[in-house]
Amino acid sequence: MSGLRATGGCPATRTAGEAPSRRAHRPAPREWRGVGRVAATLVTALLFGACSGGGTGAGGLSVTWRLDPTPPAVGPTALEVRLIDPAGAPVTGASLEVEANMNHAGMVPVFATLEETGPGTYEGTVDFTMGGDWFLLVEAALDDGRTVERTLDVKGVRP
Amino acid sequence: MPRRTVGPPERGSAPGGGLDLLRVPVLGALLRRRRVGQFALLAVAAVLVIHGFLGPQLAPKNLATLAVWVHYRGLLVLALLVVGNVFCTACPIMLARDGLRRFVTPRFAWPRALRGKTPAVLLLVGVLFGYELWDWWGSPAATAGLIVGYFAAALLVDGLFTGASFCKSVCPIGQFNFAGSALSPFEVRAKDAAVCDGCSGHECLTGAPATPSAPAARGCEMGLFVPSKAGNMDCTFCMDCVRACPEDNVALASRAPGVELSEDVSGSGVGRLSGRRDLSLLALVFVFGALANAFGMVSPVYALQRTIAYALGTTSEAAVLGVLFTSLLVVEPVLLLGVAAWASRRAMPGRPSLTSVAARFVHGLVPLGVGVWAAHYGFHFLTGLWTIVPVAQSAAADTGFAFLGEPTWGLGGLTERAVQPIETGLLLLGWLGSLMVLHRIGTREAPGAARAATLPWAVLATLLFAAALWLMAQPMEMRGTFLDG
Repeated sequence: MSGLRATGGCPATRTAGEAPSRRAHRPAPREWRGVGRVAATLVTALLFGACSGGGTGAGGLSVTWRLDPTPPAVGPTALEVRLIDPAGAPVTGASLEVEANMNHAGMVPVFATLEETGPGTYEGTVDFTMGGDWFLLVEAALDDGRTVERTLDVKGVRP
Repeated sequence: MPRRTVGPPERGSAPGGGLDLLRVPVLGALLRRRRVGQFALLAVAAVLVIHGFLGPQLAPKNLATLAVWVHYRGLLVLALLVVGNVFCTACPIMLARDGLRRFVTPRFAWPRALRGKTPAVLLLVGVLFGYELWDWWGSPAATAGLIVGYFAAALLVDGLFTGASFCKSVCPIGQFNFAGSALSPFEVRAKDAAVCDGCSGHECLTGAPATPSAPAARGCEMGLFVPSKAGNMDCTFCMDCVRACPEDNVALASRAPGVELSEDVSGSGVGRLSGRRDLSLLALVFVFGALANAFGMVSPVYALQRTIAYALGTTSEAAVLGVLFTSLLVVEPVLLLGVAAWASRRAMPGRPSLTSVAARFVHGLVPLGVGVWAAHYGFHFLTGLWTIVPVAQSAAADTGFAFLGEPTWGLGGLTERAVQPIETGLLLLGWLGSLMVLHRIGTREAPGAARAATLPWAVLATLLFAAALWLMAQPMEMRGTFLDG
């Protein structure tokens, strides 16, 4: 994915350990902290600035991401995600799954699995099915057992 | 004024050869007992508010945003087309309102200056504007807040003011339902006019006192007197009149959809459509608002918004939307209706004013408006039909109840390709309905020159139909803002 450019994207909002698969339901105590999470999201967004294409979550893990083409359009779109640990080293051996969804209710989500193509670099294809604003729920299962989740905003997918 | 009845009922059969939904097993019982539906929707509203505030703040994963903006809107419009105003029947706010009135007796009459539909129509425009500006469709918490605010506003209004002040003069959804229910195939009316002729109690309007065999029954809070009621305007299908009538002489009877738009009879509590400028305004906003609302979800609107922003030198979304709404809901209707009225009145006896001509004919565009709303909301509803399943499964699991099973996130609905012919069919029906109603209005207003009086309005309806077809053919681009991305 050479020549990729960072698109607008908001930094991480959630990090959790021992989380079950994204497709399975999430545990109640975490999920029902909605108001607190909204506040946390706002604070995080303020801290990291608006949609920089990467960020560091509560677990200290840095996540950067890119889409190709940029700006994205309806159809298959290459997604690259890079994971960096607090020491600056790439995070290898993780399993990354992505759920892409529109910010409007009533659309069927699109799923993708990212493959590790280099140290800490994971690539895959997301098939945007409609123009508009999307978000990507990225779930990384690390080899130490932790699970890291990120919500990445993808504004203005072209029809 | 003429009385329309459905003839004397026979036991177990539909009165007058038509269909009386109140006599249909199960459905009739449900319609008579509105509390069943109200309790059900109150429970749904409670779930939506809780999940909206406390659940995932992602619109497609939250019951509040999904159920309100996809399923509720779609079902409401489809119900208007298939049955009638049944969402007012089951309105949970009225359950809360009636509960409040057990403890609080309203003291004031609704202010004379605020009577009529104009304030409520402006609120309806405000709702359409707020929907675009604040992206309510994308915010579960905002949607939940909207539900709570709606309840609070209704309880405040009906706690202070007598009768059904909120329903009649405030509720934007109610006005939408009243306008759309002109096309509904059922209406509340008398079974037998002769029975009403012999009635001296007028219980359907004033209510019935308690008897040893029946509790007291409320009369129509909207001021509709069944024997002289015409059409569905202001009728919430609450069935108070059905319960109050000591002769069981009220039916929810089948009829020709849209007939009330062209008859112009003076109905109880409403008067003549042609004499009510506020109802003409409601029809205008209903029709042009349908196009504006659909325009908000297709690609060209964003280019237009950027152009407006550039021309104004502003990045304020409110300012740009203000210009857009003013153009679509004021300038465009005034120009189009003005030209059509100018061309039409030359054929009309007495040369009425342009405003008067437009006020009479604008009701003929309502069927097209219903078609556009149904096509738009039907699209979201049908393409997202089953998305409610995994979200409900997820919500249940989040609360510790996994009885609904693991969320099946891949569930969707009909494909866009499958829904497109349905959209086109709804628009086509709306356009044909408008042509028929406009012709009947033309025949009524210009008996000697109906064709000449109708033609300009038929051209306008065709232009709007073409615009709606073009809109539905555009690629969808659902976005929160036009200024970034």
